[in-house]
Amino acid sequence: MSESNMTQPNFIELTEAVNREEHEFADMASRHFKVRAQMALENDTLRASFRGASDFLQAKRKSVFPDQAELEDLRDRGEAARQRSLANLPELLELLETNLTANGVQVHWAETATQANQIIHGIMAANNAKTVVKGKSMVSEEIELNHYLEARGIECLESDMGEYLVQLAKEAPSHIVMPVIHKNKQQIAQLMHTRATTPDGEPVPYSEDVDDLIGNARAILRQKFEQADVGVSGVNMAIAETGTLLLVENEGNGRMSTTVPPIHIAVTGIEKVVRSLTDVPELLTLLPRSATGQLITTYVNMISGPRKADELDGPEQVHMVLLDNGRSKMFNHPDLKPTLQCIRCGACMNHCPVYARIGGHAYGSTYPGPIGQVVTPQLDSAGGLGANGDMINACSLNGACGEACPVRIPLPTLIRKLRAESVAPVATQHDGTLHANGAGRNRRMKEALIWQGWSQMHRHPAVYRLGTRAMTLGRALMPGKLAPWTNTRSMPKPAAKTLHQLAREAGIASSATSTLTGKSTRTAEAKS
Amino acid sequence: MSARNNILARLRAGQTNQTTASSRDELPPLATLPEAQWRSRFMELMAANHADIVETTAQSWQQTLADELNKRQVGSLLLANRAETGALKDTLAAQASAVALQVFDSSVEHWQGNPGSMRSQLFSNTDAGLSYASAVLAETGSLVLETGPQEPRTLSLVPPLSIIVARESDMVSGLTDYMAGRAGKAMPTNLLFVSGPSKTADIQQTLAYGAHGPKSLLILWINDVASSEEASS
Ligand code: SF4
Repeated sequence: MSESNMTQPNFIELTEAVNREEHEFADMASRHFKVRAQMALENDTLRASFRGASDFLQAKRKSVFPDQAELEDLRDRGEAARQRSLANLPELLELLETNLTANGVQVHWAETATQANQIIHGIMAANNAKTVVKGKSMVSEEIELNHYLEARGIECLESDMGEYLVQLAKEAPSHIVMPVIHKNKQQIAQLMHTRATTPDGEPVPYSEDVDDLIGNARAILRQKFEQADVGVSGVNMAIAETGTLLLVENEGNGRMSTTVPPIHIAVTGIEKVVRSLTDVPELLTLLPRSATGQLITTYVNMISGPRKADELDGPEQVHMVLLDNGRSKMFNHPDLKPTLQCIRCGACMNHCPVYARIGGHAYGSTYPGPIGQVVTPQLDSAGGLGANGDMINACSLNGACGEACPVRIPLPTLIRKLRAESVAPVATQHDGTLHANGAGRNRRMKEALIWQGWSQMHRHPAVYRLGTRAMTLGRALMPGKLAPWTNTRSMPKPAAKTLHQLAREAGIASSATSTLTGKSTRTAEAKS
Repeated sequence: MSARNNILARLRAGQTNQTTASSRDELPPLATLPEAQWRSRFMELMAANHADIVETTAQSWQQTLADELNKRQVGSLLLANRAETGALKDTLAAQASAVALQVFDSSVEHWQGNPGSMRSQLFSNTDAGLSYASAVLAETGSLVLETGPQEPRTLSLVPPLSIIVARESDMVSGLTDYMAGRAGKAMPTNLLFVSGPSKTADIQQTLAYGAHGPKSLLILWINDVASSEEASS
């Protein structure tokens, strides 16, 4: 875009640019994981956005955890607090239900995404509600609530600034905490100018100034808050003993959505419950610090019921929809259970080198990044390991996510576990061993045979020696290319001699038979 | 109820393969900020979060409020219906006569007997709302609001300027102490921690104030404790 266009943008050109971005997003979303990742890697603007966001969020987090020992202590506490809650999950859910009900909150249970959507639509239909304004809720993205309600003639408007912009662009969030980090402010300026209209029905004036952009969105959304029939929100924690829904946010849209419309519907996963108020401080200390590097968010809102008889405002009805969608299966899995410890802070994606390069949309799932790789294949609505098998391979197992996670979820271990499950032999699928959805779906005969051979070779020294010897002798016969491995790498050539040969020549190992046993080391030590 | 029972049954089945509860359960409580630092920490954090703090006293805070309203050229102020509201109205009528005063004394739908008017009044014609903090958290720089008939939920949310009266004597170290003190007591419909004006960094990580809630937060800080510096000097 030329300098003169920057000052006097051409509406038609900008509209085309915005439409092109929408088209690119839709095109990318329709492809396979590997193609999506490739497309993301080739998009320089996108890469700059994610690099910038990752660096920024990492630095912010670091600034609020100046003391490593204190951080590790807090992480111990966070992990303990989440495990303590999960250990008593069914009891806590029942206690939560009892106390929410006593507070006048109506509790609903949904086993599947569809059930949750039906429940929410049912509440709306019973109250003749036509418009929804939404606070930020990843669970509502998980169940694709907007889509479900819009198909039934209900208008759903996202009110979190990032979510609002993503909705305007007809895209999906690329980060669980910062939904629109894939766009820079020029792109957002174009988007607002071409697609948003002021409350007077005029196009929003073109501006790249962030205060202007936020001010314009604020004016539009305020009117919607004032008029909406229903507010939908997520929940960060549900406190069982007091029957309380706790929400954290900076913008005030969460408070608006849960306060101004006559009906508030909260939707959340069954894992979010904690026992009492005294379980809150540690997690509330960790969540905003890990997410955005804030000591606390601008608002912490603890809702314990609808408007009381003597109160003057607030919703007349509050509903809580508790969603399973695969969570109780995760709870049953001996190794994958820590998935449920997650507090959705996003630190794992902010620290993931793969996420920083391919960005959120390449994953093609509601939850991207390391936690997305772990949770997505386990959600009933997401198609299991069969549909998400490629995603779990997009990881170098560098461990950065596991080190960043405030509740010490062993994310790399879980990713490895899911990889193993995705190629699990059929035999183990009927012996009572518990598996994630779609276990064994990515097992390939050829690959399995190769690994079996590898395993045999490494368990039998004679075979191993024979094999490595054959490799050195036949090194001239090695192919020059081994696609796709050699697409981005050159093919290594085996050395002329095996390590054992070299070791013997250097006098390190005394005899061939002692290799691969502890003996060789001891001999070497004795000699030196 | 079958979804409920199915979910709970699956969870109960999963409880049999529990890993034993973490030994970290025995961790001592989180360390809290020493009292001598409470005040300075709170002031520092609030300033960093773009809140304005004006110090005053229990005797003169109403006058301070009038001065601030005049200084900021506030056109209209919404007050909660509390015991002191009558006296406050008199002070403001005398000392800040340009400010239109409105009392939040009936439901949001039927304010002034005119259904629907309150919402638009609140959203379009109210510059400021006056709230009262029930506690102050030093470690995170937060004001605690407990909503109810005397502290409507929208009062501190919808008007662009939120003014909150806070007393130094209500300060506690932080979340840990506050939650421990709250345990066993009835919860208000909304228990809010407010730590600055509304804000967002959703556009290219650039901070902007006044996202959906108040653009500005003014704290009227009542110095009702002999400060530790004074006490020690
Ligand atoms: S897995 Fe850990 S780091 Fe990632 S979002 Fe969840 S709590 Fe945060």
